[in-house]
Amino acid sequence: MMKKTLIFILCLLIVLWFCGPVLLILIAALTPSAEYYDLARLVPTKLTLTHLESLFVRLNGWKATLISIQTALLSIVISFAIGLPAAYVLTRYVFKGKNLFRLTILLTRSFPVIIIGVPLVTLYLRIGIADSVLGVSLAHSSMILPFIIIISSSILGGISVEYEEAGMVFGLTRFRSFLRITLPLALPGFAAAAIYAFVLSWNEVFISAIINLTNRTLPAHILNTAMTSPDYFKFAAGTVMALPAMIFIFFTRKYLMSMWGISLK
Amino acid sequence: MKRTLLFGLCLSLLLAVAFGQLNFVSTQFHPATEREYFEGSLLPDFVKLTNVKVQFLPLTYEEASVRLRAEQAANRVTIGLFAELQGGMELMASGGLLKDISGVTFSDRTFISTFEKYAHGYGIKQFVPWLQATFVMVINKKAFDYLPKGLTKEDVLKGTSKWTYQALLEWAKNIYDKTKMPMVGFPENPQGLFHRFLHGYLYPSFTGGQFVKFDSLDAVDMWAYLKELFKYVSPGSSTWSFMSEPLMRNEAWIVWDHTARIPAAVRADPEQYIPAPVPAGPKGRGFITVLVGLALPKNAPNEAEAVRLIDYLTSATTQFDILEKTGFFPVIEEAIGVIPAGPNKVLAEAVVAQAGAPDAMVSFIPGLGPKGGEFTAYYREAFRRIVYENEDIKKVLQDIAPKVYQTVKESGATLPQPDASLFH
Repeated sequence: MMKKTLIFILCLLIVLWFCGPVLLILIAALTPSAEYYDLARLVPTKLTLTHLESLFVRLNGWKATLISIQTALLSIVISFAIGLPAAYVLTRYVFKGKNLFRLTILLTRSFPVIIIGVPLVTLYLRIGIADSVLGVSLAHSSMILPFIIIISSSILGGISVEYEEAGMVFGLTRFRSFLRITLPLALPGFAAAAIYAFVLSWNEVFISAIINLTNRTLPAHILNTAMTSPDYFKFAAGTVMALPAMIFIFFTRKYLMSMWGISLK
Repeated sequence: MKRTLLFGLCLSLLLAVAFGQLNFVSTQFHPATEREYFEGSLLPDFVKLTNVKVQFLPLTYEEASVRLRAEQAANRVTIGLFAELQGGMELMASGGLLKDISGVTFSDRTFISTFEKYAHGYGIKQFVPWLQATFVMVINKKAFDYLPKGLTKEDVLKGTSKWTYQALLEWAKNIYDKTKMPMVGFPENPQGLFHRFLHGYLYPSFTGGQFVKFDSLDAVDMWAYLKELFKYVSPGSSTWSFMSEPLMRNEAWIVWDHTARIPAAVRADPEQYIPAPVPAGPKGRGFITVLVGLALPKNAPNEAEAVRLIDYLTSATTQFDILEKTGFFPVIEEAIGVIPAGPNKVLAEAVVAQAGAPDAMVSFIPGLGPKGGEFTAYYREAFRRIVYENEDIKKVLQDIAPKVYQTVKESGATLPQPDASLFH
């Protein structure tokens, strides 16, 4: 009984340690501006949705949220469509310059975005995909792709090639063998990689701001505003920014540990 | 039903194409309350008056600069109007990104001549002056109970010759000795504007220039002074970005900040939180004037609509309205003549007293463009090493000075005031 109580208290402390700051941010976001600076009160006497309403409704944060969700999902689709075949090749085939290729993929992340900003937007304007969800998604995909390839190849590397070969012995093609055998085994790991991709796209500001003038993503739309506003607005913006990402992670959380291959054991 | 929907869709598309939309990119009015006012009140009033649809797009200087350069390179300009500080405009003009707007004039208003002068450069009129702002001190009236001998409240509020940095030090020490609390505050947080205090206030007041005398003997004295002052500066300063907050939380009594970042406190209680001019140093009363202008990018679309918006934004009534709502001050004589009563009047009086002081020394923020961050980072580095890490002042200044000069040189910026006046 004593042991159970101790475990319960320990669990409670851990939950408080992680959820406490989130709760405090939420309370600060809901505190009326007049009470926020009242040092005598730690907990506000009433809660208000004014700051959230301001950011989400009056400053059109809801539109930006929709664009951010579309952008993040499209970025995941594009980066998986290109990244998965690349990861498969890196895992299953031996070829000259394989390690160099792996290194080169990561090197693409070493270019400062501000340097490629002007040529990128110029190109986008010329081919007519500036100010569109597709344009930002493509740019985000190029940022996410190296991670998808590296993570996916390590996940695929954890699944024995013999399963696929067995499938092929029984008449499946290589593609169908991947689809029917390897993919279901690797799916939790891919889902975790997708969460990572979602968070990367969700938090990106500079590229979104320069490519999309009118259809702006949430961080591009509110980050500067939040950082130059009073504390309670910062907390309100923090809540608006964090909530959709937290909901997404909540529903896919069981896959998160799989990124490191735990589900395959 | 489907037909009605289709008709509605076609009509909205046609309207959008027929009337176009003016994209107004601004590096100003980013804080939530300012942006709400701009998008929810100021621009809708303009739309009602003119039927011109305006999209307000707040971007940082870096974002706006990349986008403008890309639009020029692709020959597809979508930004119709651009608002930025004088220094940034100068850099944009040096890159050939702005249109010459010497033909844009308004007969019913007189722009302040100093600002008109600084709107020209690189052979063109780069922008129409729009708004001005500066940085002042704000003092919690409790602090006046601890004034040092020889300094009166009147001296502080009027910016007399007795209101000096030395007097500020004695005042801060007096408060500390009697209350055991360091009650001077600066917005030192990276989002704060403390670097402006270093290069635009202290340096000119002690050396006569913002950076040309970066490692001079006068500068050594200045840093020694700052080191002494920081014994009485609240350690919370490193976390503050807007000084209205610590003022209202009673964590600092004597603060310095941008006029657009303190109205919350002054409006909350104008009798408790009193704006005042900055102190003077051995070389004068250095202070920054922030000048915001409105410019047309080269090959900008919707030019006629953009000029109508400039006309609206620089009219006396709009300038009053902006002062009341945001704390930015007017730039046309017609508007300055009548200062509105209330907290804004107190604030305006401090700005006027500062600018009108006999020893006033105007500093313009150097137009370094993307190098601006690097430039201010060196001042912050010097501050950190000298004040917090206790390094030898001369060594730090000799170490950083070449980097500062190199940054300014690489940016291609012209020498700002008051540095330029040192050579005339």
